[in-house]
Amino acid sequence: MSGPGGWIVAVDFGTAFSKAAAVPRSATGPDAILRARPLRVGQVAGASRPHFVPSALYLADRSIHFGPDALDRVQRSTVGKREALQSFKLLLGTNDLEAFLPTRPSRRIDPEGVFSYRDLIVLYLAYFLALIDHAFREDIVIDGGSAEVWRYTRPGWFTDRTQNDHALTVDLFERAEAVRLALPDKFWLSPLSYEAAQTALLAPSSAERLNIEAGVFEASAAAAAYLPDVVDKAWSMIVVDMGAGTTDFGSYMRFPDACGESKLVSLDHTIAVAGDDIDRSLLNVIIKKAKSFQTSRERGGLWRHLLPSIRARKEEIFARGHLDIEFFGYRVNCSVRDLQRSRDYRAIVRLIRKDFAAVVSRTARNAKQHNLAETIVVATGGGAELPFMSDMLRRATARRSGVPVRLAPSAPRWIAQSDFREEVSPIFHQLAIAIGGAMAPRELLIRSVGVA
Amino acid sequence: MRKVRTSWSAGDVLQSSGEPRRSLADFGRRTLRHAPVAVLIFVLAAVGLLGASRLLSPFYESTVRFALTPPLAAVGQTGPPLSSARVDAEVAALNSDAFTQMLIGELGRAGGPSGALADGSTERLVQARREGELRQVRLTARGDTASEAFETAKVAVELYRSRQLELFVEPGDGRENATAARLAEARAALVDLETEREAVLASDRARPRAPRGAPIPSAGQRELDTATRLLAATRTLLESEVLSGDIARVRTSGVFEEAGPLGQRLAVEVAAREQAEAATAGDVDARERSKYRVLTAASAVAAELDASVARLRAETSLADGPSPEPAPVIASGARLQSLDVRIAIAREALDGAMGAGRIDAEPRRSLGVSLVSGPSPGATPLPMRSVLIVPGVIALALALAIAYAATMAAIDDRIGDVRDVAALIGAPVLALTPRIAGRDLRRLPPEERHPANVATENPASPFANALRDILSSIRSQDSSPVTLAITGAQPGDGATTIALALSRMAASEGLRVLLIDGDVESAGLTRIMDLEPEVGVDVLLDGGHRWADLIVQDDVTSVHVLPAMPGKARTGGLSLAQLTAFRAAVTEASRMYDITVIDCQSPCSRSRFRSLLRNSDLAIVVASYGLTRRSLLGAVGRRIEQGGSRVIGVVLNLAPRAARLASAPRTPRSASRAPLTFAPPAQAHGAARPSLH
Repeated sequence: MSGPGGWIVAVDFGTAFSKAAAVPRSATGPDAILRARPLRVGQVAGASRPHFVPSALYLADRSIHFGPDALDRVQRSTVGKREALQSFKLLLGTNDLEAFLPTRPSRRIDPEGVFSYRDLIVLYLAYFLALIDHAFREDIVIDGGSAEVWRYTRPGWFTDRTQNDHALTVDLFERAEAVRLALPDKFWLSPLSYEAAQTALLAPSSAERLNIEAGVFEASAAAAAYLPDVVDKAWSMIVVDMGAGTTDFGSYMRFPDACGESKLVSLDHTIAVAGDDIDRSLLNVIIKKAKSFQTSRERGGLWRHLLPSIRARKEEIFARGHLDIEFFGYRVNCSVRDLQRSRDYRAIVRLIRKDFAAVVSRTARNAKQHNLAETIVVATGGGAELPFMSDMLRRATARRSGVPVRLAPSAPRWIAQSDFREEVSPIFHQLAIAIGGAMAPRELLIRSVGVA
Repeated sequence: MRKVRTSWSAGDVLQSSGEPRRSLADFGRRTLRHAPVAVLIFVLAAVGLLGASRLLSPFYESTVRFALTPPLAAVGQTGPPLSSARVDAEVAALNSDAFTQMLIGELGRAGGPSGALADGSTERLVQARREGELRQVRLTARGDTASEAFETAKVAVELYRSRQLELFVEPGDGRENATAARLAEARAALVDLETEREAVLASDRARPRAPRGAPIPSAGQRELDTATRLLAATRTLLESEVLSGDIARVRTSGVFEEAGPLGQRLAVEVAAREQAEAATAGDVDARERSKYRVLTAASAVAAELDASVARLRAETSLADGPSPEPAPVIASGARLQSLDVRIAIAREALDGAMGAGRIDAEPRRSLGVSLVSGPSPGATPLPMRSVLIVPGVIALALALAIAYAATMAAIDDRIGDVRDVAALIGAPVLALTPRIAGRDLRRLPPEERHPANVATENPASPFANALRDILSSIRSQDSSPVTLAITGAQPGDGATTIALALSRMAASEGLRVLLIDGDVESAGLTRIMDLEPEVGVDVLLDGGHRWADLIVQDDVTSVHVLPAMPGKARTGGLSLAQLTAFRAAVTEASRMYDITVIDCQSPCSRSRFRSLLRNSDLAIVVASYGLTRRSLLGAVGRRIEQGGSRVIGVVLNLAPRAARLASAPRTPRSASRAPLTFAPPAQAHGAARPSLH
């Protein structure tokens, strides 16, 4: 990936789906914004949605299946308790990444115990980098440009070891790049054999290293995606990003300080309660309703059968208000009220609401202190369209203390002028982090960790 | 999992000594740990004592509740009849709580201006009402008529008087000095009426009598007689209804039916009234409504009859020729009859106003009161006032709660401070494993909902992080291969869970792990792993089996397991030969693995298999935060050392989220619970200060 016309590429290594976007490095201001490109990695991978690649690996028959193929395989698997490796981002959130990476996943993921977590994450990253490479080259706007700077997004878990984690993440990317180069072009089109994978994993790092600039806090990336809409010199913005694995809250405020200089302050907060938890709540509701499945073993079998498709079923139940599932000749009807009445769902909603209210309250108070006119609330991530999120945002706008809170549109206004408005506008809330991560100004980027 | 009871020897506990001394701060922390129960005790004690104090202080024995009989606005008047909707609305308003409250307020003020209450009684009554003590007096309107209700009200008044309250009950109209005004008004009305009556009688006496043998009345005169008779009957009806409500007395043997359309209309109303009386026994409102309808109709009929009589009289006088004297006896009789009724009413009003007679039936609202439940016999007022009782009760409850918390803290022997543990057992705390929340367990497939599986499902969880910390401590020991016993200080501390999760964690790090279920009696490990072996590890005691033949592989990791046989524990103690055979097998097996983990019974238990713990080189003791007794933990440590193993540390299980080892790094979850603070981005995450908060 080299050549004239350098680009910044942001990798959103999502718990459920991986996304990527690029913006020209040299261009500044509105020009750069309008040339931002969400990369069609899903299309390259053969996924159902062009910008999303399922973050999944599945090991079977001494072969590795990636992305959509992995999910398809695990769904069709008839072998007992087999599982795909998913939720990489949460794995990277462990408090001692260095100690964690060499460990091995369970036999349900890797039956023969061949690979470590590091190996599998590197293999998935290599796969995703290859998809990005193809999508990047095939993009008609980028047209021969090169990915000069890389950024990755991450949740707001900042610990004493965060700097070290950044170094480890950079190492993972570089190993992945070496593996990508060692593997044949479009290696994901057929299952990758263990031998080929192991050989590639031993490949030395390439001379041409990836220039990984920073890891960007996901809420900061989402805020960056909405910044072009902000015209005032003093502003305040709250971001709530509910993904599959984590819910990130960010609050950003710019105002003139005592010396009249523009000052940016921010606040971030992450909780490990998000869409996956709602999926599990729904699973428990369905299993509770399946009265024919009496023993815990039978219920476990049903759990595994439904798990790969539960995300789609969740979207269906919220869209239609009810769900009719048929499995093993048995039929279960489940309404959205059943889910909303479940103990776990209510606990999840309560947790997110409570933390969001705390962030809004703190922001409104600070905004009033600095005489800001209003606070804008941005909702991103796959959970942004869930009913309770809409309700939560509506309540935030109705509060009367501090400064007024205004809800930002589901897609920023600048999108209307871009080339990809039609394909991206309906799913912008899911792509905001990738796009914002690429276009984030350095001032916001400094909010990231491990700035190069 | 089946629970297995394990007995304990008192000596094991009593041998404990050399515990670290408890500081005042430690005592404070322990006291706070009992705060939830103490708060509960406080609440229960306060409620209980307050309730008891109320039972002991029957300041007022019955509850007062007032309601009004419906307004008698139309009685004896000739105004427009009341609509049933209006009557309903008035009845509802008069029986509403708000009006009752107003009356109770009036009751509190009653006699204030007139001085009918004894000194301080008003204040006492108002105070009692404010504090809700008046609830014990209950009076309500039940009389069909105002006078009936008033009779019962007088009983209530007597009851109050007997309790030295000298309560003066009267209808409240919300105005000060209403009593005096009404009294004067009632007296004036009575005097006026009596004066008028005297004038009529004087006029009668002065009028010349009609001559005997008067001519036979004409047709007009007969009609006039009928109308006059009907008028008299109507007035009787009005009087009966007003004064006694005894409708039976109004039966007029068809007098109304004979009196043309007017009389028939009244007859219909009377019939309806009788019907309502019979059908709505006990329903005061319905009865009152029917009564109003009769009264209204009767008033209207009376008015029309008055006009009719006057007209007929005029016609009769015209038909019979010029006659200047129009039936003086009849005219003055009707007028006198009317005046008598009005005088009776005025007397009642006066008596009612004076509080010694019948309540007024004037066209105004009347109070009807009856006593439902009287005072309890023998009850006497408690000298202590409520104003003193409430703070006293609160203080007493608070003292009880504090005493409980302090006592429990003093006798509490459970581990409540991480810093205590190392001193108790002489080994460091290796890790704090958190309590696994139910929500975390419900993220697992139904058959795997056990804390031991949480780390496998979520390798980035705090529980998994704690296991990695333990494993790194084990690796730092100068011993390879390692034979490690994991035992709980007492049953339920989580030793089996830690043994399984730790073994799986070790396997995930690439170590060869053998896990032995040494808890032969309960086979807890085998049950958690859902294994169904044909023979258990206890067969190794006889030396007849090879350990390798018993190996079962974990289906989650590469851990090899030597399971026990659930429910097939041997009886009797273990002989030296058995122990030697078992030790030989374990020693041989441990050579094949990097780490051999034995899940053991506590050395302080009475289990016959507790000595299996001696087969290990190293030992980890699992204790539960807030559950394990400190004295027991010390005893376990000494027993293990006596058995030849070395305790490398303690795992403190079920640790609260706030508990943290001084050396532990911040976990992602704890970081996410940091306070929300705004900061410039460079300070928040820059290279100078990588930690956010």
